[in-house]
Amino acid sequence: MHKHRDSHSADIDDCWNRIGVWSHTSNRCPKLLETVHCRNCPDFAAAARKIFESRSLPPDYLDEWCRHYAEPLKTQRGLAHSSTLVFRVGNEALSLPISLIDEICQPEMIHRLPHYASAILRGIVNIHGQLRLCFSMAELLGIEDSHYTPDEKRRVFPRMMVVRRKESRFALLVDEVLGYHRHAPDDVLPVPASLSRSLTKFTRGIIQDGDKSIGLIDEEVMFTAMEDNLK
Amino acid sequence: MLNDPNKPLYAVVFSVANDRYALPVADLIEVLPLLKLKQMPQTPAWVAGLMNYRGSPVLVIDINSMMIGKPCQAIVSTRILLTPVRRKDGIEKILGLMAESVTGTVKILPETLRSSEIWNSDAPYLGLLALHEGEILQIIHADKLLTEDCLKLLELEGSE
Repeated sequence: MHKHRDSHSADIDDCWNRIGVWSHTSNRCPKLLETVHCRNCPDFAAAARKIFESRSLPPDYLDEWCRHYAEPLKTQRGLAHSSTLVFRVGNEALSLPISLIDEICQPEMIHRLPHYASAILRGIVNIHGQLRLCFSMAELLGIEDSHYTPDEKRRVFPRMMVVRRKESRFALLVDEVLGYHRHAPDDVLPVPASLSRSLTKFTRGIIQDGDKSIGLIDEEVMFTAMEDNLK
Repeated sequence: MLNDPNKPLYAVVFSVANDRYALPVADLIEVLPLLKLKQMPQTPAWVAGLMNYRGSPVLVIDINSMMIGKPCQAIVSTRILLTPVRRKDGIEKILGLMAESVTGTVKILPETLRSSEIWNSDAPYLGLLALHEGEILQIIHADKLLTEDCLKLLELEGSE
């Protein structure tokens, strides 16, 4: 069976080219009754395997893999990874540890609180029958309403995130949720001096995701700032 | 290892000559591509060499050579299966098995397993037969692959 390894195509019967699925009359392959198309046929899979199995080694293959596996595994990189939820506020891509996020939902109707007129504390919202205090992330972090120019091909949905720490749960308004990101501890870079002062206060570090910089929000500072607004 | 005889067994399949053998995935650490090995002079022919696996030396044996006296071909489907072995002094080591046509895994159902009814004391690693989709797969017990000679090599290698 494996005798002709080097003569690739010579010993392969390409019945899918010879018979195929085209003929509807006399020559129709009986296996098609079961497989419907050649691509589902075990014969086709076996031929493909035969070709791949007999491929000779590309130049440098042995050396390259030798070098690759000689590298020590970065210790516990996988274990120490943290997952964060990335969202956008104005022009800033920011993130919070995913463990703090209870829920992401569509912005609910905000009921303003009388005598609590604050741009930061927007009011209360009803989320699944629970009343939550709702904050504006942009105002909380002091991000000015900068001229964000959305990509016209992409639709942008403002979101409300329910964040939790111990017993307190708050709703936060963000301009868009971008997804989640995983990073290792040594991926976190120091906060650049160019960041605005108010945002620097809230930022623990920066992670680079391709050409995008994501600010890691210091949740302690953020929760303290929210609670300070209630006093 | 056949831990639970009622559960399906997942195994990596490889070829020796025209026959197929199955190494249970529970006995596997990693499947590596073929890579450059440091030759070990004055060792049996089935010692393929030593590799640097993440900073520690790992002995690789050529299973084809060991079983039928013909080395594995240098083609992409020849791979190195890493399996844990325990030395006599209890220290866990990693052993590399170079095998041909390592192209996939199979799910072996317990009811397809049969005894080969042949016991070869020279090849204690040969286990049950699985009558799998029209072909016969023989289960390989990785922990019994090490013959006395091979064990000796490992003992020496570890006695730093």
